[in-house]
Amino acid sequence: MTSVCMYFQVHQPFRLRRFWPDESSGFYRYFDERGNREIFERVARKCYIPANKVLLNSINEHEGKFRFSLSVTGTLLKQCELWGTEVLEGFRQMAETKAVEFLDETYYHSLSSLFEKKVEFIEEIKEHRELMFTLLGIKPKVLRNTELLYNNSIAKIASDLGYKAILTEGADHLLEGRSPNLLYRAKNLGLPIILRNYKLSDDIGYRFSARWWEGYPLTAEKWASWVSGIKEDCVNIFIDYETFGEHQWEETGIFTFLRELPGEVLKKHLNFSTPFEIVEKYSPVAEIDVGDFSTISWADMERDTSAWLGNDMQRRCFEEIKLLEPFVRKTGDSEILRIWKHLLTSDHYYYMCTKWLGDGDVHSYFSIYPTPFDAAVNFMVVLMDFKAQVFRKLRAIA
Amino acid sequence: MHLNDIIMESIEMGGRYSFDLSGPFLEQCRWDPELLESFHELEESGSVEFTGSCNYHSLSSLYPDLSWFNEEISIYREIIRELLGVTPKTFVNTELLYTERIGCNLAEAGFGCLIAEGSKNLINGHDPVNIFQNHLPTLLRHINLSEDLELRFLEKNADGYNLIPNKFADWIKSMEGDVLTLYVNYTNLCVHHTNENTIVDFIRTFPNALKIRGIEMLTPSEAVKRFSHSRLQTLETEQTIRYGMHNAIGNNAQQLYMQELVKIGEELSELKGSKAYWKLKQIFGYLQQSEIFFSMNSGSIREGYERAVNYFSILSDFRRAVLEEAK
Repeated sequence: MTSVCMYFQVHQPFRLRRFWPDESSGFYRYFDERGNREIFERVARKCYIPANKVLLNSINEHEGKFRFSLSVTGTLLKQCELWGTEVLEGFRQMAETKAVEFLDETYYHSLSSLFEKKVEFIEEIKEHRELMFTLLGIKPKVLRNTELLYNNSIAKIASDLGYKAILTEGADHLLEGRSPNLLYRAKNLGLPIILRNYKLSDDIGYRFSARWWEGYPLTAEKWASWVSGIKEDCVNIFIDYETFGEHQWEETGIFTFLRELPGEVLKKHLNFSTPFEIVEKYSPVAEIDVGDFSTISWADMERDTSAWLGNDMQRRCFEEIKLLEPFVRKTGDSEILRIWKHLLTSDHYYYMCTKWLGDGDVHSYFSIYPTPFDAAVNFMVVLMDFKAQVFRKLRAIA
Repeated sequence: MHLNDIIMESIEMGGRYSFDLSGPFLEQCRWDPELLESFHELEESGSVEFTGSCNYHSLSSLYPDLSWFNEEISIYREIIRELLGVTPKTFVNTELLYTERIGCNLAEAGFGCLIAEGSKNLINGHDPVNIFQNHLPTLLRHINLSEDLELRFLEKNADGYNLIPNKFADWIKSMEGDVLTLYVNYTNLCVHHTNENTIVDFIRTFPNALKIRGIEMLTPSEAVKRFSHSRLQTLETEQTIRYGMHNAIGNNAQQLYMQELVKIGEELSELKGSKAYWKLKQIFGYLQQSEIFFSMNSGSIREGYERAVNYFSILSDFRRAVLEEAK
């Protein structure tokens, strides 16, 4: 019996404000308190709260047969604590049902896994782990890295930290004709890898309301029948949680789809399994080898790091932040460290992306800036001010 | 170099000129002693006045505090004394920028004449053909005629062209007033010069064309001595005089760059007496060049802002060096 393994990514970044050097200080000298709150509250209203309700109802209705997994970033959980305890309460209830497996990732949805030195990456995973335990009383067993970024070194760290599996994209160039619907293992490690079925995932995440698409309109019944055509081990559906009500508006019928999906899938004699259940149930069939300079992700057509580090502006901002690490640590100032960590959040770099064709639409949809160039200049100016703060602090404690 | 020779010939025909050489240009002249020598010869002719300048061609006259502006004035005084042996009496600010505060500051710095832009918001439709007095005697550039000479020289089909000395001198003759200030970018003339010989002929014969019409060529300081000074109410303004400043400080990146320079300038001032101060000050000078500002707003937003990202990266590293030097 083929398993359907669903995981929803839940994330909101702390976006930067349009920086101007004024008298403000602390975290909100750089980050936009009001703007982030407004976006959070909108997404909570349109997506998180109603989607949580639909899913909780389905869990009850199907008495444990509907199971799925959530990966919630630290920055989103923090925003829930600040501005939306109702959302947090929904996650707590899900955790209590035991039908929802929560995954670990970096607290900041960051790009720290791309540093040559992995100290920060490990630290951020641990921060997330701690937060999951404090807020939800959970100890995740499976890791998924920011935007499914994956290479052998990342797998090594997941393995060293004791995770039982890692998730990444079932990219074509990685599989070279092999199926994403089987379990693989990381090179030289044996760590199981669960690969995303991007076709069936994107049918929901991207194409659900696309009128040009031959699959339109998509119903849960239709989608389940496609899935049932797969006779392999597991069909791994990884999508943004914001698909429900935010990327796909309520008017598109996305909530009806979500409500009907568990029943339709179960009718087709498929079962739902969470990532940890998948690795208990199946065995890896082959090795996956991704060198550190061929890192993959689920982003854009390229499925690589180019959405965040594709142009000179992005690489330069990233390099600057990276170079600052030892100085930030030397200050021993927890607020400076916290700001620096939030500057690693991948979204800042995504806004600077200049790949217009194909994926450009998606980038501009997610951006708060009129152009990627504004995003880069704003980031760099924040960085400049922050850097000065770091060195002033170092001078003060010298 | 070649143009300097032409100017020399023109001087022999009765021409009188003034030169505003930027600090970075003079520094670069050190690489070319022959070029420096040719400016020296122009100086010795007695028909050329060298003006004072904001050394790094910066926008420091717009900072809240004028101490860096004054610093640049004295640096420039030193370098032009060293290289050409002159002490400028007339001042030309970067991009001919003027505010009343700048005028007041220059008078205190001992200048006897200022050349500023004949902006529409100053002269209100009239030709700037007098010497105006506010804190110091001020000559205003005649925009249209200067641009005719500098930019439109080769647009042969436009009305009134091809520009020939006699025609140009006739236009000037037809104007009433004491003095007309033509201020052009020397490099632009050179650019045209490589294409055509007309500008060469123009410069050679223009003094004579003027002489025939009873018009004399003067240096700014001579003009100030010769004519009476009249008041121009609009000079008493804190509005910045110079059209097109949006090219320099019009967008967000430029504003932020300026803001950061001001901040770094303050931090750097506190380092006076420290070991690395002199070197840091010099780098700071070059980081202020107005060309950096202009390049953040030329071409598409893409080009401008990609450059800005680079500049901010550099500037932030410089600020780091300043902060690390502070003890």
